[in-house]
Amino acid sequence: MSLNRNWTLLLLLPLALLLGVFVVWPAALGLLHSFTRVSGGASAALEWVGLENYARVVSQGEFASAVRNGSVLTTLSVSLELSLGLGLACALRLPFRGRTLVRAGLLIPWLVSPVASGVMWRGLLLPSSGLLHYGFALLHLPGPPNPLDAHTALLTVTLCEVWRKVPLATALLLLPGVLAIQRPLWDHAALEGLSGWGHFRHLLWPGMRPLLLTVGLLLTADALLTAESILQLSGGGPGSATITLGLLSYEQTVKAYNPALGAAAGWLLALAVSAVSLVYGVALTRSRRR
Amino acid sequence: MRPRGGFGLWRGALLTAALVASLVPLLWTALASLGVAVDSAYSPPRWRGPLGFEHFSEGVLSKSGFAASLLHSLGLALLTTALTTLSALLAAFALTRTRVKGLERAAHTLLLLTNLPLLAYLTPLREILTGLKLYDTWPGASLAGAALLAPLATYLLYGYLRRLPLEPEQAATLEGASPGRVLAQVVWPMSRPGVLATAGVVFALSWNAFLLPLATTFQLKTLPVALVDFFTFEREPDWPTAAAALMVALVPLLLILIPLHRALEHFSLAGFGDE
Repeated sequence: MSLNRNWTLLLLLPLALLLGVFVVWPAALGLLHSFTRVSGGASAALEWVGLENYARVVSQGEFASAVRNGSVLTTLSVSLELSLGLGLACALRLPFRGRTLVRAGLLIPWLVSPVASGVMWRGLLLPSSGLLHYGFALLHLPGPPNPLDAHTALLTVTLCEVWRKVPLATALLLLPGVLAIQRPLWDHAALEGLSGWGHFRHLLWPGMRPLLLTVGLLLTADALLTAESILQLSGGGPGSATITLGLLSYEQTVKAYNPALGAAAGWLLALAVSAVSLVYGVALTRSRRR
Repeated sequence: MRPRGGFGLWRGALLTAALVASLVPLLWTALASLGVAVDSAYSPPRWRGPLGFEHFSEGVLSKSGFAASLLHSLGLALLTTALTTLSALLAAFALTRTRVKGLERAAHTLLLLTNLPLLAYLTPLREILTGLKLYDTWPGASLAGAALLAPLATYLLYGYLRRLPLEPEQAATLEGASPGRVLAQVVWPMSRPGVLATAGVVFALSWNAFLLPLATTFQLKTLPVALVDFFTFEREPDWPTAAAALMVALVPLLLILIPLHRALEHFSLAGFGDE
């Protein structure tokens, strides 16, 4: 059936109202705030300051670290999430006894909130009662290096994010795509004796390119926004070893109560996400034309 | 077909490793919450017992505000899920069954809104809610939460509704049913697995949200916000108590895991990758 104009608009109204009042309006104000400064005490007039807030964010010592950490964290975590997710989705393709349970079990880490994941991994990495030190002691190895020191902390927070996101990539995003590839194509690939990489190159990539790109975009955008888990796990430190743009914005908005700077940092983040979306969008359009 | 030699082995090893890596950290936390923790100061490490619930009863639930935050989280997540799913279902139905041009594109634009970071408008959102007298209220927090999650939910349902067969709807329309009736009596029964899966995803995301309740509530503190209050990074956490709090936060989602998982099997995001 097809709806006429009035019905269409009526059905879209609740969503439009929600988005208009609670996303578009505050977002427009947020953008405005990022270009202004509150001045004049009681009357609290907004004064246009151009790019000053952005300049202040960028000139902060932590900004360079945040960009560097964000790039490392995003690149590393998205590639790990995509490859592990794809591998697991392929492993879950054919039915076997207990597959439903395995699939459900693999979904569980995604149910842990970013905040809770940060608290949990901090506990698991404690020397006194943690899992890591127990493992080392059990194997009679000397104590492990501190996983949250200046050299290792970024890797640690990245791996913790990967732990939480692989289930999302596998079960929710990639498995349906793997299942949608027709059985004869898999049999053909098996007959040809393709390697693991061959399966990817000749079967999965051609068959799932649009989906892989879309999932890549979702995971990249999500990784760029990483803040809450780091907040609990390392607090952005030691020093600025694990600070991200999201955390920088959070600290300005919530802790330093400097909403203009927080909004500026937030919009830089939005800019980064949009740039990534654009790249993926172009790649997606190209892959459809072929 | 049984998996053949090498491939089956590779598959088993990968799945086992993934299960161990996924679940051992959580089991370790669950044990600690029950008072079974390890003391690595000794070699070989010793286990401390005994098993008990005192970290729940005396540790977490006695913390002031924790029990209330549990209630707030549950109420807000349920309200948010209902509002999100309803508005998203109506919108997805409209977008998939419309003759109005350009709305198809609108569905794709929604993905961009999903990606707009809340940090870009956290303070204005709080100010707007205050202005509307909705700050720190159940309706305010759940409406703002629904707005945040509705684009994703619409996207999921859009992909799902597009794949439903159109014949039953056409038959009902020919018999003179209004679009409202078609939605309630034909589309809703057919799309229930997709709607439930979407609701499950939305509930989990809403239950776990941190920045949104931080911006929209103060007294109505939710669990993730309480977790951040109780276990700040600056202090070393009291691990068994923290573990108990984590378990309290996880258990409600584990309860919906099986139905959620069932529903997800009927349903995929694959719909928005292809055209």
